[in-house]
Amino acid sequence: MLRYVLVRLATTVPVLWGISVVVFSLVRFIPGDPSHAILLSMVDPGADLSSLEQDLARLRADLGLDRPYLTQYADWLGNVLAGNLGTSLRSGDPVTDELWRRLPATLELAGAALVVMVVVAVPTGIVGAARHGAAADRLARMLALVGVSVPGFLLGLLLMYGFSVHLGWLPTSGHGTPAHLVLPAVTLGLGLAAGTSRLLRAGLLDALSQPYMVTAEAKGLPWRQMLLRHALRNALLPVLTNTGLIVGGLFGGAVIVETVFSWPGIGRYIVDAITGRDYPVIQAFVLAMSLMYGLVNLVVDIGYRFADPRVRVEGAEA
Amino acid sequence: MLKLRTRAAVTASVLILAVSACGGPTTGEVSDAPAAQQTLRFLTINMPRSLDPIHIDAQRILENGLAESLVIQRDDGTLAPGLATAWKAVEPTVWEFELRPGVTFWSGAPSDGTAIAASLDRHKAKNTRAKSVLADMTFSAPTPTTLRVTTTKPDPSVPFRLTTYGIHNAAEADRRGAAFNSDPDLTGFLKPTKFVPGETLVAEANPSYWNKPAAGKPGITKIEARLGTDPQARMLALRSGDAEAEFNVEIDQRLQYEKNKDKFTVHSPAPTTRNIWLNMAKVPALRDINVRKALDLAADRKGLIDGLNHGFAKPATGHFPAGLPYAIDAGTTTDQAAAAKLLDDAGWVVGADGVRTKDGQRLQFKILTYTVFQPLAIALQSQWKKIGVSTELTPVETTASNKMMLDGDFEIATYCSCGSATGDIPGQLRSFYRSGVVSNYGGYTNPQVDTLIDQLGTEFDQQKQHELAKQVQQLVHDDVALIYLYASTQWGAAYTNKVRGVDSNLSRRILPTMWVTG
Repeated sequence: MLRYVLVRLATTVPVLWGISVVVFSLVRFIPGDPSHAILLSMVDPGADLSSLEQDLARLRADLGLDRPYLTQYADWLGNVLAGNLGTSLRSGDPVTDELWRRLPATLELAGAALVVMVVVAVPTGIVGAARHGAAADRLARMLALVGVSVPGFLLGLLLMYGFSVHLGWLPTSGHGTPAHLVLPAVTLGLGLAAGTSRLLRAGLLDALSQPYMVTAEAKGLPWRQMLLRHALRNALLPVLTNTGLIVGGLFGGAVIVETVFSWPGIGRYIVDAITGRDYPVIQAFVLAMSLMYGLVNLVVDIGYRFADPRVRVEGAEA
Repeated sequence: MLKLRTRAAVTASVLILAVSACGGPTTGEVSDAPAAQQTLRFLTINMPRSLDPIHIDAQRILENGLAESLVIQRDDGTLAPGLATAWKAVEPTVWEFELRPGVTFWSGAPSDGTAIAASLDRHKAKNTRAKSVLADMTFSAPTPTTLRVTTTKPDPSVPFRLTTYGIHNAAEADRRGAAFNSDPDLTGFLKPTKFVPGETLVAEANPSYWNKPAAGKPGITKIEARLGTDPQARMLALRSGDAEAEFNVEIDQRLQYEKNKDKFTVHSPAPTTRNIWLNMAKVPALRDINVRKALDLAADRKGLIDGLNHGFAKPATGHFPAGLPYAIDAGTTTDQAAAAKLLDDAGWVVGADGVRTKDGQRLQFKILTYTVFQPLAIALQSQWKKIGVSTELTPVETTASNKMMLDGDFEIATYCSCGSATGDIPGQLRSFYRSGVVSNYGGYTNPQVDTLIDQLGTEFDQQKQHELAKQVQQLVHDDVALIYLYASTQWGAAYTNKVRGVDSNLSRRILPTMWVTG
């Protein structure tokens, strides 16, 4: 197992290097550069821009953007290897500090959304499978379809209208109290719960049709035990496989949800960085996300080995 | 099965209870506040990322009541006293500003002529936006209540150029270093007590402020500002009682605010002229005045105003919006038949596919557009098609459009540099129409216009300045340097009707004379 983990970690290094080259190049291929974004972002519509060209040239030099591409890349990579992700071109603050400052808010949101997802997806998935074809199943499927179809920003605004404007129970936006967390977490969690619920339901239906379930029933096992101990365990395997995508969905969805609810997390920070062509922030974010995906997938693969004995056997044979 | 259903019901109940327990009323905080502790909560997309006035993202602190400038520009472009009470050009290259006596920074240090000169010198040296604007100026303080600004050449726009620079204690900035970003020394009526860059700003009354409300009069003593990036979410915050103001009202939300006038008031800064840029330097067909005039005549302004702006706009009358003393009244009346005739007469013949050609060249353009202006581009595409002009949209995002405009990488563009109320008339007209200037994106050139703009740049008499500005506008209008569509307001300010004392000519500025009713 240790060898497996070490090999997987080792293969991550060239992948990250490749990603660093791609992202470093791509952000510079996109039209528009940070100096434009900085100088033009807050000027009045009729401002005198006659000295813009000189200002842009000066700013590009100040930001080091006039240096050769390879020099910029070598400097950046050297800093990254030394643990320094660079400084934001816009704020001048260290990117590492900015990411660390915002990470707790995003993790808080992601964690709460995950709880919402589990709380919604597992019961509806189980009910859908257990009551296959019945009204409860049809309702669960319909809700899942709605959950998958409704965009996060619309769901967020609808929840805001219902719970903040109409009922006055929860704040519309902001951060700091549990009340502020509810609507963003529900918005993000419901979107993910829909897909997970359908996946779980399909897995359960498949498991329930397997011969071992007939055997279990013939042996007189209680229905609840058959469902929760035997069928559910097998049905969770595709959900576990899907965990990488769920984590992706959490961070991808967080970008939208953080924007709608003004949640001070990484998602909104990266949107601002992309809009403002803040190269070091974009590069650091992509690199950090890539590393995180790599680690999550590694953990999932290891978890899968524990959850599914067949994988261990195949691994041993290999 | 029954147990499963019971569990599901219990789970749902727990969730609902949890949600209810987390909540509690979020309204009423302000209405219950006594007059002596008035809080204004607002949302904006322009939260400062630093409180140091030289920082690129600190501009909003002037409007938030933390920092003050020498001179204030009102929404209609006129100037009002700030830390300077009066100003005059004592020589063509020397301006003197009479400073408000007795003003101190939050630290207690005097904000006198020497300190203000040092503050502006720091802007000149370190503020990215100020380096060009202030490059020509030298600051000195002949007396504690006088600031002298010397320029290398006559410049009638000096007071206007000083409207965006927050005065700060430069000596203290040097001493505090990076800490000045969150712990500055300014002169405003509010002092920050909590600041999360780009997210949250809480500020409370500065007890030593020079212009406190008179005893017994209500006034805002605290602001709570936070970022609100989604326009609909900002409006819902006001409707739910989560905030009393927002400063970036868009058209769709304005429509909803206007439907609830008993609860909300929208203050709109002076409108700006939405225009279409034509790249004459790049596209030969656009050098043909008949083509430009035809495009101008074929643009259905009423349709654009009703369809895209819900009526919150007026047809453009020239570069500057109507109503300003230096605006002209030369709007184009839509006439598609006349547009078609102009093209016919110029030899542009309608082909079998409905698109005109001349000497084998199709009358076909690409329209560069972005986000908010995409519907406008689509509407124009449809309107111009009727006169045999084919267009193709090139939608990009805003940052990309900035560079493409600057590189001249467009044919026609819905880009807003827009004519707007200003205290710097020569600067704005130079930026748009002077030959060779980089922000004259379409490469328009007319020697007569250049001469008038240069003359305008040295004219100190306001009446003469306005007259020259009108002449420039008439010429560029006749040349169809740009297509002026309509004058509309972007980023209005919405307040709940609890907020009083808003100056409609400083609609987004938090003033010490504002207050919140019960």
